[in-house]
Amino acid sequence: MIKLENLYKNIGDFKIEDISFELDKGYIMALIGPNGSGKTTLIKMLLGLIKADKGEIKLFDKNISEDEIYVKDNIGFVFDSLNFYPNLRVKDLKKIVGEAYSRFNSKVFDDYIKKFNINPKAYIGNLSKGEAMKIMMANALSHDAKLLILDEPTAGLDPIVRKELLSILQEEIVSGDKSVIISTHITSDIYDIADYVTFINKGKLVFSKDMEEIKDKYRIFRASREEIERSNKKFIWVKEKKYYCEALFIDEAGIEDEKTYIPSLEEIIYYYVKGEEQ
Amino acid sequence: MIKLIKKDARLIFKSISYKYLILGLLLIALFVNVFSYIIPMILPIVLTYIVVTNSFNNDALNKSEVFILSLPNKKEDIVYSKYLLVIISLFLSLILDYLIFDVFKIIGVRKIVLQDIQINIVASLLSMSAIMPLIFKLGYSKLRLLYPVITFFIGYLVYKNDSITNLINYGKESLLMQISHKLGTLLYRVFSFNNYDFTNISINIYLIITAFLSAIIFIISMYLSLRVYKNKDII
Repeated sequence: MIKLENLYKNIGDFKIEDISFELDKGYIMALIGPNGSGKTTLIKMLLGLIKADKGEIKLFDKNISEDEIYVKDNIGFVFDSLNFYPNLRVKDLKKIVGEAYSRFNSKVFDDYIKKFNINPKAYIGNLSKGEAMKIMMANALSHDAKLLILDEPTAGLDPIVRKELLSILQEEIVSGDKSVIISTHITSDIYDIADYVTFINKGKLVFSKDMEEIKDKYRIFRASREEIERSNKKFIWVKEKKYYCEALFIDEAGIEDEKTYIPSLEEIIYYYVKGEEQ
Repeated sequence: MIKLIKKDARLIFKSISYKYLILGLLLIALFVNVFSYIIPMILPIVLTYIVVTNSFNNDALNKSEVFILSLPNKKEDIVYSKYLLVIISLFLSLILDYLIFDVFKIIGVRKIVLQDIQINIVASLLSMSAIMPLIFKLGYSKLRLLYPVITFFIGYLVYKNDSITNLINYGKESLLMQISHKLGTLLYRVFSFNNYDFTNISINIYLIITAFLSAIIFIISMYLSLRVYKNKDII
């Protein structure tokens, strides 16, 4: 369904270098990485807003530059903020997006707006951050999109709205015919829902892996400096603490012991980023 | 493309400040006698400029380009819709100009003449041809103070080099008017007209040539904008 092959892009000082990954129908991929790692640039490349210098993006077996309307018609997007005209009302937004999508379902949009308790006559400029995100979510889910692209959809939201949005997302994808790419740096949001994780840092692909594999193989080893040095494990980075050290490694052998524990995605990002800084 | 024009139209109507609109109309009504010579000549240029730049300003101010282009819209359609917006705005403002100055004729203000329409069309098309590729290349906000200057400058040049006035008042013929004159003479010979009013025929041919040249420049400008915008990254 989605295939990115050897993508390259130069934007001033920032570079996207050799990014490749694939995602099949019905799966959720989390795009993770620290701020400024290139997540939004990559998402904009998927939407055809930024053209790759090299490489290929195939969505639904089509190239976005050749079948732009078809590809975009099948994508539902949610950005980190609703950059729309503040002097228009929610019902105006509905008209504009309704005219744009070939399969826009007005009733589905209205049902979501009602469910979210948003007044259709409210001005876009008067909506709260949470309401604006819900409007975008309603837009993304009202035209039978095959792929949902969400760029930091939960950033800046309170936990209640975050949970609400994530549960709607889960409800939607339970049918299995939609794929989702969700970029976030709030990794706890996607820990339980993502099937795949693609981690990018400084515009480069660190890994693109199955979530189960990450949960199974990534481990943090907590031990003294001497034990870590004696160990034959290949550490990604070693964090020095006052009385002990902690180091991230990939446990290919799958040996469980009391000195290792399963890291969170946040910890994995942290260790990789620190490892690269050194 | 039509949906994008509808979106712009919806935005324009929603962003009109009726308070300022009434104030503007009152000012025109108040000073229409004093500036009766200039107002019919510049009103459509000003209105077209306001409508088109307001539409770009709305997009820039709200960074809505990302949202609009993430919908099933092509960059080409954005360019076509903005150029079409110029034509529609110019056409409607010319009608408004005609209506206003036909109404005010009752109180002794001069009526709109063909020359006003010619200046309006040429100045609007040329000024928009100059500023739109810049907007598509650099965005609206960066040079927003330069755009009115360009429009004013082009409007002034068109007005100052108005060959029709020069021909009627001073008998001077500009290069274009000379070409029109020669074409007129040719037509006279080919079609063997009974009466040959050289001024009239030259002016008519001149009007057609200037409108045609402005349209060609406008199309070239649209082509430039398309090339620029298609390769632009929406960051």
